[in-house]
Amino acid sequence: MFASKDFQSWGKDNAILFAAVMTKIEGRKDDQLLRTYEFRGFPSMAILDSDANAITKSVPRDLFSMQNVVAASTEYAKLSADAAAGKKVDPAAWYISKLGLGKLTAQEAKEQFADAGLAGEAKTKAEQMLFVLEMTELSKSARGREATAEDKMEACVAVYEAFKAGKRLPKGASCETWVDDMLIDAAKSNNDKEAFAHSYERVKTRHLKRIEEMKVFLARYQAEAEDSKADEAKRKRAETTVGRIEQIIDGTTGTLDRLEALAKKLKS
Amino acid sequence: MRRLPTQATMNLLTRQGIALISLATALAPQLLAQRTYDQDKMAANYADMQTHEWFTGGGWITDFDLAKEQSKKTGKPIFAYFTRTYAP
Repeated sequence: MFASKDFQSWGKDNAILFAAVMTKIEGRKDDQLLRTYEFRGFPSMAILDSDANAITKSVPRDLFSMQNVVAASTEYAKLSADAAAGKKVDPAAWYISKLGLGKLTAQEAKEQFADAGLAGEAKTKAEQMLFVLEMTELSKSARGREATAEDKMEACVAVYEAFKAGKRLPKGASCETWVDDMLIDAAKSNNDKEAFAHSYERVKTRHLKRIEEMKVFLARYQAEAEDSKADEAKRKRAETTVGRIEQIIDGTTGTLDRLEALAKKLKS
Repeated sequence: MRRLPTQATMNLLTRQGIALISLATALAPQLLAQRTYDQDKMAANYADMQTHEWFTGGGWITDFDLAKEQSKKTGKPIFAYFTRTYAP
């Protein structure tokens, strides 16, 4: 993410990019900042104000949401201070800052949308942010341990209905992978060429990439098994890992074959 | 035929096990604190990190006081990324 040109050009213009590095170099200033902010491990991210107070310690990993958090952070700090002091705050700005900083659930955001008085570009942006939030929450509940087959089906229907209503995720949204998988399933059930075409290339690319990555690991562990003939335990571990990787490759290849079969069927 | 341990043996092993665990728990902080890191290697790791494309391309800084100063001057928030250059 940080190596991408999109992040770098945006980051330079909108934030002070500070790498809080724990180096274990004795006497180095600021080497223990992770503990100062009570994070448990690496990597972690936070948005801080100029006095080093944490505005949020929950920073999403996709660029779209990250940008919203940073854009909202300064505004939120100011507006929440004004609101706490009993001052009148602009409802649209307050809503956008809360939404951007992840302070609202999808349900709360929907309920408060009308009263925010949004218009024009701000309204369009808020609608997109709300959609991302809805899909993110839906993906978490559908993939949760307690999710039933019925929950998953309902989630798939909700994704499809949103698609048919013209709603689209911004590129790179964190829930994009899950939404794409749901749309492929929905396309299959509904014989929908448009839904299929929307997600097909991304899903295909993802699976092909996974197979290539697994082949690299496969070669590595096959070599390790070959080199470990004198160490029985190590050889067995390497061979077990080889077996698992081969299963992943077979499974993903099967998924790709089914995807291509569906592509042919929908084209005909 | 393999003989099962007696109750007396089990009691002894249990007491010894509890004693060992207690000792390890008491000593763990001191043991961890005593861990030393090769300073030349740590310095080399840190220097290497600062040549990586993600770091140089983004114009990241590592001086916290400077970050706060730039944030005050520009009005931009600080995007803090917590990472490490050593293996635990």
